[in-house]
Amino acid sequence: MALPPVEPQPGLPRLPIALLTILVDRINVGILTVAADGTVLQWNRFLHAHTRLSPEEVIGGNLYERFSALPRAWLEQKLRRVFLLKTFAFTSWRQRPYLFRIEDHRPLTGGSEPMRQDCAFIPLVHDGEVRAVSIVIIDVTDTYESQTRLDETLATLAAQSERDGLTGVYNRRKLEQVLETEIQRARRYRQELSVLMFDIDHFKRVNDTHGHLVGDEAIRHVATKAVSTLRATDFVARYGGEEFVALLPGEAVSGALIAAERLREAVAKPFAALVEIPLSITISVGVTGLRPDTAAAKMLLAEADQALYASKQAGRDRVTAFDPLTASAVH
Amino acid sequence: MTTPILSPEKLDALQELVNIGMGTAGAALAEALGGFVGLAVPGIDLTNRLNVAALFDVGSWAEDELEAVHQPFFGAFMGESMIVFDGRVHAHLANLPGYAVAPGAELSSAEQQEVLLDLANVVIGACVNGIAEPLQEIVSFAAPARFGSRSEIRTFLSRDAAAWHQGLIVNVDFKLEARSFLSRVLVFLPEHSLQRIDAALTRLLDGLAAG
Amino acid sequence: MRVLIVDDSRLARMTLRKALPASLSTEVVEAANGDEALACVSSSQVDLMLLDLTMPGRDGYQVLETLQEMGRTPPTIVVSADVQTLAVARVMKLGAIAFLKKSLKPADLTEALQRAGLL
Repeated sequence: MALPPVEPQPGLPRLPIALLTILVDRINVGILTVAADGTVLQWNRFLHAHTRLSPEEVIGGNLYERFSALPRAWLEQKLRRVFLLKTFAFTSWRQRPYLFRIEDHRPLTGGSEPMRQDCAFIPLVHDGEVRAVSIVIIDVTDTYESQTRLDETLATLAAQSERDGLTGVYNRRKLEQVLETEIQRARRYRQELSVLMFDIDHFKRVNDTHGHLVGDEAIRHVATKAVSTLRATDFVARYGGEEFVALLPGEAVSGALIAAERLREAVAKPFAALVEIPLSITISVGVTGLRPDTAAAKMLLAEADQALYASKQAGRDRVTAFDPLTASAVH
Repeated sequence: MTTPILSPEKLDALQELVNIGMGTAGAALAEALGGFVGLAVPGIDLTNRLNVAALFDVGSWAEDELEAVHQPFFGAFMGESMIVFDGRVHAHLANLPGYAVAPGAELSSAEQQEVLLDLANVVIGACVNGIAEPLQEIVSFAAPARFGSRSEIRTFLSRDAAAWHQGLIVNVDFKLEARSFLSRVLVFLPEHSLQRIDAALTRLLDGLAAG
Repeated sequence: MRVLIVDDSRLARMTLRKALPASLSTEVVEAANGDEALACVSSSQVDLMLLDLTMPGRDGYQVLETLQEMGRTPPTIVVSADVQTLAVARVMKLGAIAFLKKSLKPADLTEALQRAGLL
């Protein structure tokens, strides 16, 4: 292929072409250049070293025939777009780990993972036409490893955390731990313990009407009201999507009903979900208390849940207590 | 608002240039994605309004699943571009004939992200090159990157843009076969770049008017 | 030869005007939208129409449709940024004699005019 001559710019000191060639050859990234038909026109030292294929073995041949492991259909299309649109293209290790599979690039510190690569496809335009495309291959294995370590650390943190990300109240895992502890303590010191279970009425409708962001605000609103209307010694947790559980140590069901009603009323007041989006939501509440015959924590939660269900059945926006005598719920 | 650097006449010319660039990009994407792709530019705006969210006016979109990609460019003029897609883009990309690894197969999540970045790269490239090429200027690009999450996009859209930048907003109607979704491209150009574009447009228009 | 250039963009109209071969002696009229184009064709002889497809209001397709119904389609070359096969086939069916892609090179227009026997 006859390459167009590079015009020298008059008056400027010029790096001799020979030195530019050395730069391209020795640079610490991979650079190869292909013609529209897939013929390899240039192959630098980085690629020679990492693929153990010399320029003599690669240049002049077809890229896809020489490297059968390359994703041919995808790569052909990618290059075709660059030739046609005369614009850059890119790939990232985050979506495509590598273009050329290169292993053992770090014999000392590297593990068994192949090199991770970011690639840039650069159209070489002369006289309005793309004469060739250069592919620049950058080793980003360090970034990949940092990211992996970061992801693992974050996962561990999340598992250990006690809090719900959206509302800041405790999460379900913590609740279940604390419930066990509180039951034991209540039993040992012969104290009362009540449980509130409450969720947002018609939550799906809120989401569908206003979107998930407003739905999130509604959940936050309930959590905020729970924390502010209940006592400091009470324990509030987000149990599910729009569902909460509160533990009231030292409180009998009668007192818990009053607290629940205060909460219900506070939530029902209209509030600003987002700027210029006023919202009005209600909650249904189920209340139960620890009894000598309460077999396990699970039972307490099941009873509160049953009472919550009764609130729903009775029309929502209300508080219902679990009645152990009838093994069902009354207001 | 400070005097816009580009006059309405120049903006009109710019819109035509971008439209032509998009036409070529649409044809190339059509070949790649295996179906009709329409990229139309109903409007172009210059603004230095401080509220980026107002610039994009994404309130009416399927905001739950906004997707956004940003990409810097440099050369004869420089700046950064951002493209925002409405949420339906992923549903549309999920089963594109031209991109699927195996015929009939659905794209994996990584493949979808790759397609999205590629799409953004092509549209932004068409926009910026569409302006640069007819003006005989050369521009290079850095890699596109996705805004990681909905909250990142919101945070970015709600902060103030620097007062001395003027931004070019290009509305792009994206049609993929029978499906269509919206996108908006913001080409953020510092003053000296806009002035350079203005000068190049003057040369172009004067050249056409003469003779 | 009376040439009607139809495009909502002033830059495009200027580019098309400039692309007309110098050898052709022409009187050029411009229309910035579909309605103006129809008015011009109805009221006077048009020997060649260069028509853009995407215009607000009445677009290029509609102009061609209306002219076809009226039986008054002048020799028309459609010039558009949108070049997919879909558009081309549709436009030829509506009576255009050629379809050219923007941005137009003068050589392309000359070739199309020669092939149409207008040059």
